[in-house]
Amino acid sequence: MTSRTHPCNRRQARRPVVHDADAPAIAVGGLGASHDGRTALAGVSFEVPAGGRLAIVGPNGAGKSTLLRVLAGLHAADTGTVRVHGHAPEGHICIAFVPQSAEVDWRFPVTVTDVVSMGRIGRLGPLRRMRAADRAIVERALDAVDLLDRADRTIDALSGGERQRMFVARALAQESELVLMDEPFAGLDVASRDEVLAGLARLKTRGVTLLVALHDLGIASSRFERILLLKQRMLGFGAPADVLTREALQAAYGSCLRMVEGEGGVLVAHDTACSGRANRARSHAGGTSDSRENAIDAGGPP
Amino acid sequence: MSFVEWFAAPMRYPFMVRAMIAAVLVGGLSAVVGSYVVLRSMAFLGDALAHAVLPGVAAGYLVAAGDRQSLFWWALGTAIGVALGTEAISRRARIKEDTAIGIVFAGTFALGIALISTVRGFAVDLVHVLFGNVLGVSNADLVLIGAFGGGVLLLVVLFYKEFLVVSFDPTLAVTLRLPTTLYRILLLVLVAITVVVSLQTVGLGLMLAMLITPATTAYLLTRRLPRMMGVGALLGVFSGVAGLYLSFHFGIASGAAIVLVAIGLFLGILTLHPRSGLLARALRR
Repeated sequence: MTSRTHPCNRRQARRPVVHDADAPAIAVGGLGASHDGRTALAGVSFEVPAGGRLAIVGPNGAGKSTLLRVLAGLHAADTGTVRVHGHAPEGHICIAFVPQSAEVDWRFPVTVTDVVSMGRIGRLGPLRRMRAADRAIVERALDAVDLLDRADRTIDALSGGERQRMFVARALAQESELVLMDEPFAGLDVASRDEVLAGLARLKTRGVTLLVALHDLGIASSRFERILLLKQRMLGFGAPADVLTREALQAAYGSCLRMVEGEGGVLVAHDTACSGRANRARSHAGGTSDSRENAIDAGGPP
Repeated sequence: MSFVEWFAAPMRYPFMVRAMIAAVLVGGLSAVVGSYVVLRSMAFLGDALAHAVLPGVAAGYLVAAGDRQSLFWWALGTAIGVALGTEAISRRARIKEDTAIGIVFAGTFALGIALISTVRGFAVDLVHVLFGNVLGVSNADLVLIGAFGGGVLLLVVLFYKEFLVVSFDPTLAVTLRLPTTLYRILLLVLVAITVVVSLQTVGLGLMLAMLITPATTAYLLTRRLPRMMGVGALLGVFSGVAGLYLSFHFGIASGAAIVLVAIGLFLGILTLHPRSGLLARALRR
């Protein structure tokens, strides 16, 4: 087994984390966690290889955010093991966590460049200022998500899609190897959503592992190679066609879900917000989706 | 009285010159530190810290029998202790932070009044603690204000990016594996020091206004944190100097005059700002 000192941690002399080259980017075994005294996750086990892209889907309150926070080392697990590149997440500085947009104070007086530059702080260390090399990294990160023309804007002037791309740029500036995003597509129109997806594609070209919690089964099944279906317990993990089965979706969403059986597969229509109110079933096939409802082909004859 | 003489008149008195220097130092310092108080929504904590100084001052008065220098150290120790105590209570116990602050705030203030009520002849000094006594600032006081204020400003500059990330995105600070608790406590201690060195200028009753008013006015004028601190410091300095002139010429209590100038600037900008002012918005509608 080969090991190397990872550049992510070179300034962390007291806690150097040596990446295990053979270990997957993420290995979770028998994970259980609670939030405010309630069980949020139980018996969750999965692995994601380095550079993999995983969508975490499930109804509201399924534990998606908690799972991301545990993986980032922000929330302690009650049971089970969590390994990022073979080590506990707490020692890594190469994990980028993008919170839900509603958790950010958008009136804070900072510019887009200021926020993206914050990704450099972990590497700079105390009492050091940004140098030319750091500024160049920040500029390249802004360029990668097509935000250079917004660099000097204050963050309250950004659109929803620009806000998410700014955080992708920050993850790039952080030179992160694992990016965790919580609902990056919430409230975005289709054009903004595609711009964010284009930004995420830049992460893939750099071999970054990406985990995204989202509601939109259409994006999850068409843009991610793996899906984790969650409702406290893990209801499925693997390729979209294998995970989004009739039984699994029924177990996850219950009455929030409508399924129409047709030739060559099951057409699933569900209310992404799953508010418990009356849900409209959509009968058209394919990937046309708006922000609230999506139709996907779950594959396989019934 | 000529225009020039109106401005020159107070400067003939050494106590007014010392008061001006104190007002300039305190106005600038409290606006810079106050920027974080405003952005982190710590206004209640700032007010609580100011009031919580009272038992320290009272205890110092009992022990040292009115020695002013020792009162400063008693106040400083109490403020830092209360800042750390509030932080510990709100983190350990399952209480919301503002509830913890409220309990500590009222508790320490009551303790201060209880201690003071046992001392005869403290009434005049109590008024000074509550409402400030900038006209009584001594050279030794100026040295203390300058030294501690300078130290606070130095730390704000040195740890600028750390305080920024801990304030804007504490979650990022944790994933960058910064010692976030340390920086949060350090920021609290800086606020506590600012409150104590500013106490003699406006008193604990009006301290909150110096922390948040110039910084908030600056927030309305600029959308970058460094500029907010700079503009806030200028507004704080102007409020201090203008307030003292009003105090000198019209016989108004100095602390109240300083705060009223700061509030006046805030209200003026709030209504008259060409882009975001209330007047401009009403006209546009």
